[in-house]
Amino acid sequence: MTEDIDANLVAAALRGDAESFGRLCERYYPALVAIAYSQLADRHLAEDAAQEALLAAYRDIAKLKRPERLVGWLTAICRNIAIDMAKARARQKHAGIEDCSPVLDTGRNENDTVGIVREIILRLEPQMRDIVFLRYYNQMSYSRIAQMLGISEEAVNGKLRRARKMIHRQLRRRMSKETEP
Amino acid sequence: MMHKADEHWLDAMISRAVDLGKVEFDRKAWLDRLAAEPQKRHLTGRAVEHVKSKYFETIWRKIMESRATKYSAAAVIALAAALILTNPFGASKNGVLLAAVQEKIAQVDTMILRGQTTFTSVSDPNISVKYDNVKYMSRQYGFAEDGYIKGVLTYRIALNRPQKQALLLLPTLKKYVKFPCTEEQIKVVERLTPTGVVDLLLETEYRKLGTATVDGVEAEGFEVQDLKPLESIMPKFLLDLQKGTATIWVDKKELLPIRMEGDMLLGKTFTTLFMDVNCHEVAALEKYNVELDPGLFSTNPPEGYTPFTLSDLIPMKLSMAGLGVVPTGCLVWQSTRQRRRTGKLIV
Repeated sequence: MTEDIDANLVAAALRGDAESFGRLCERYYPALVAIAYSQLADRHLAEDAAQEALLAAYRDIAKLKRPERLVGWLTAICRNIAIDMAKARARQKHAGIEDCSPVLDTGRNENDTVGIVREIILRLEPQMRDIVFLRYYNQMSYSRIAQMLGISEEAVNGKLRRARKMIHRQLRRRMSKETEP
Repeated sequence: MMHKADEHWLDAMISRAVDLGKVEFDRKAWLDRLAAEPQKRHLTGRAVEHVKSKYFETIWRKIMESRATKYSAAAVIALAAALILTNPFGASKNGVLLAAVQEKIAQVDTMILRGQTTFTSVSDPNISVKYDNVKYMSRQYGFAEDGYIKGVLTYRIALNRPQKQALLLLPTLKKYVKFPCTEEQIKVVERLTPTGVVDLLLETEYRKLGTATVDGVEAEGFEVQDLKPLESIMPKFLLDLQKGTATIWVDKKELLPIRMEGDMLLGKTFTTLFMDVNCHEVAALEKYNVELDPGLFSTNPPEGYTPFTLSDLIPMKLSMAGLGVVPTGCLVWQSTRQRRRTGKLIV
């Protein structure tokens, strides 16, 4: 059903219907923010990246040869933009330019369990991070995640299980270290 | 192996850890951002209204404000079908920016277009006529078009903008039709600008044809696939445009439209001698910003010409002359005489 709606919206967007493109934006924006966040670890930058990705997609939508791959295409654009932004930030740091954006959000106390979990997640391999965010933040089904990332549902399932195990293992290790006298 | 309780706890921790808060797409902010970069961003198809209002003002916007002028702008191709005018303007993307094309064409004061128009009866492809034509466009003087069959000047039409007059000459009959340009026609002429055709592209669906070498020039092509918006341009009894497509090629380097091709199916009207007719039109930009002789746009009939009267519309006369003529100056039609295999002469 969702795919049908998407297909209709994509078809209309390809015909230049800005309204349909806008609806697609609304639908996928949170997921794109999550993808960008998993690279940037900064919500504001992540929103910038997602908006930039949608601008780029709108500009280049005619280049999309297979409309059914729009979601994966949007994700790839967003991830690339986020990676570029992360690199630019790293360069700024390297050049001694003060970088206002933190590596991790400082909104929460990083010593608490949630902060530690977040830190662990952000150190997972990139695709695992994406899957964790899409599953736990965006509440996406395995099939939608698979569609976004261009991988199979089995791969999503496998990677998510491995990610959870890694998070659990590392969390236990960190917590036991912290409780050591 | 985790216990169920551990799993739930871990899931809750992960959910909290990745909770970015509510993220909402701010369409207005996004459109503002889109609008802020019009030179870099090509707006596809029906451009966002928000962006239009900011960046596609002036003539184009004014056209859009009025139903009449909107359709007048779209009349470009209908008029081309009617042999008055052809204006192969267009827009592009992937490097050929709409705004840049508009800007470039805005600097063009005159144009000479050369092409061919072929009319073929749908029911009998043997009934066909091909015109070679030259179109002159001047922002100052108006439009003129000469039509030739096998090198013989068959018709000339001039729309003189300052005088608000039009003249149709039929050299084979030594006849002329002179008529005032209505305000609507003048508007059509005035809207016969790049913005008008860009408007058409934006208003109708179109397909990108990609890059190709056209007349030795690297160009990007666009096909307007639906000419329905043009249907109401002219009264149906004059021009029954049933369907059609138009292709526009834009020089990627010069950002100027260099070629237009149109295919239209015209229904039975007296302008087509009550035949369904396929019309194929090709026009290529030959020169631009060259000085044009104001005499080309003269609406004074040459010596020896007499006014075309209603009696000249009698089919017998038309057959003898091989011409069908619409006094409103919209269409000239000639059915060529061809022999079938039986040797029987048909008209």
